[in-house]
Amino acid sequence: MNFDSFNDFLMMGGHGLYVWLSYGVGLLVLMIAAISPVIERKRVIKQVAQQIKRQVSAPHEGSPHVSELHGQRENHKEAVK
Amino acid sequence: MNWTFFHKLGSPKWFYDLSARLQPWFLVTGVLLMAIATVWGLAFAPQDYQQGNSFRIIYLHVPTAILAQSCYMMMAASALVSLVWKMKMADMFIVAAAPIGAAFTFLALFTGAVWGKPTWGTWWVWDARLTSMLVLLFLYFGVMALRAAFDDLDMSSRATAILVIVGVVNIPIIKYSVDWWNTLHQPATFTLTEKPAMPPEMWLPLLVMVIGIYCFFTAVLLVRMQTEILRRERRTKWVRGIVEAEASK
Amino acid sequence: MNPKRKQRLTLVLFLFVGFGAVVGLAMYALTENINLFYNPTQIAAGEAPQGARIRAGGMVLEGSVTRNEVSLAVGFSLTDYESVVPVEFQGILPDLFREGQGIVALGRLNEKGVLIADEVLAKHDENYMPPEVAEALEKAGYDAQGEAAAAAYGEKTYGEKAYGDKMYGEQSSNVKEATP
Repeated sequence: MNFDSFNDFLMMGGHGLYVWLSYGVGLLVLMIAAISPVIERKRVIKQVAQQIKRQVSAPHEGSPHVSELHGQRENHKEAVK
Repeated sequence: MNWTFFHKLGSPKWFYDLSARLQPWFLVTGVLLMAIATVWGLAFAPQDYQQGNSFRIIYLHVPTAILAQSCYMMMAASALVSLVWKMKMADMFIVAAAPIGAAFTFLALFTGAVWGKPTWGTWWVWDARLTSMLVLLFLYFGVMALRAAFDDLDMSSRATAILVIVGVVNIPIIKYSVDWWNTLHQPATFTLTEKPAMPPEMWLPLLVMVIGIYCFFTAVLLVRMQTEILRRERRTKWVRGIVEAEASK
Repeated sequence: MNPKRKQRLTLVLFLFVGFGAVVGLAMYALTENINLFYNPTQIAAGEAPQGARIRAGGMVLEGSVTRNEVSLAVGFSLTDYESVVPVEFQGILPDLFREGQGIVALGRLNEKGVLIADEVLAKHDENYMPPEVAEALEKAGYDAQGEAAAAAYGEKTYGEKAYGDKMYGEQSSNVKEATP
């Protein structure tokens, strides 16, 4: 251990603000980077599931409701290919 | 040469299955190593003779800066594959990696600014190293914006690939800026050819952090690529199977 | 490789090489603007404009720092071990400011060739070490950075990898001798 007391550790020899600000923002950004893709994944799964449901009830391609799905046109094009 | 692996890599289903199996391991290893390195670097590593404890920011600054640049290099390699071989997975890699690269570049710049204040006496200076790093951040933003601007997938993947390849000239500029021009930023402490200008008790936690952050990057990247695969391949049977299984949970 | 792919690959390579050349030439032409500061030799040679705000970078000459007892005014000389530029500054110096330290001063040159600085930034090198090691080095007769820098200054300009000659590995072997 490089520090004599916990208080010394927090103070970082007068540079506490800088060190803890760096690590605080670092933790925050890494958390966002880790959590946002999981949320996005869930959202896509939900959307695709809904789309499948609609297609089962009204099975015609390119119905206007599905266009809210992000990147709809590109996928439609692919499906046509 | 055996190209089977390369061809398999081009198959979204194969990639999805593999990444689903590997992702948790990368995440656990990454978080664990990063936690160890943080405690080690913050509490146990010795302080610097000149900078005192503000030097501890290095354990966040250097790994994020390394990742920011190597993420871009990987994107450039993918862009070449995407342009020449029209491999779908290469394009998906670019889309998935750009936001993570941007996050790491931002962190490198931010921690650098916070470190600069107590050591140099300023948050920011327009020297070649800092400016070229800011250009890297804007390149990442550019890739993300270009993605959102096109509706046509073919067009947008070509446009982003070209931007990524053209932007790669910035990488050697970042690396050699401190040698080519005079800057406030000091030259590299770690080079491939020389011994590090730092004792092992200082660079060991740094090494652990670099490995940890690479694992973390891979874990996040795999989730993003899975999402991209689900979105683009949603008309295939196997994706429907996955979606129905997960949605009914 | 099929001809179409080959064609695309050549096109991409041309694009890359062409763009790289353009950026490279532009950077080369703009070297003077990209450099953050003038070194004392450039200033002594009159390369830095008088009256305009410029940055000067170099080492604080040993023994040159004079402090005013009542105000925060401080005077010192900047050197690259070839030429010397006197600097006057009023304000709070960064923690790392000391004799033998690399610094960058922002200000205007007056007609006497003195840099009237309004901002002083500290530069540090790429060497890191625990305080005990630095102390042991000093006892063994090595100035932790000054001497290595001076040795390197003979051939290299400031801002290049100036302190690279004495890497940590060699230093620690000196430490062992010093602390039996």
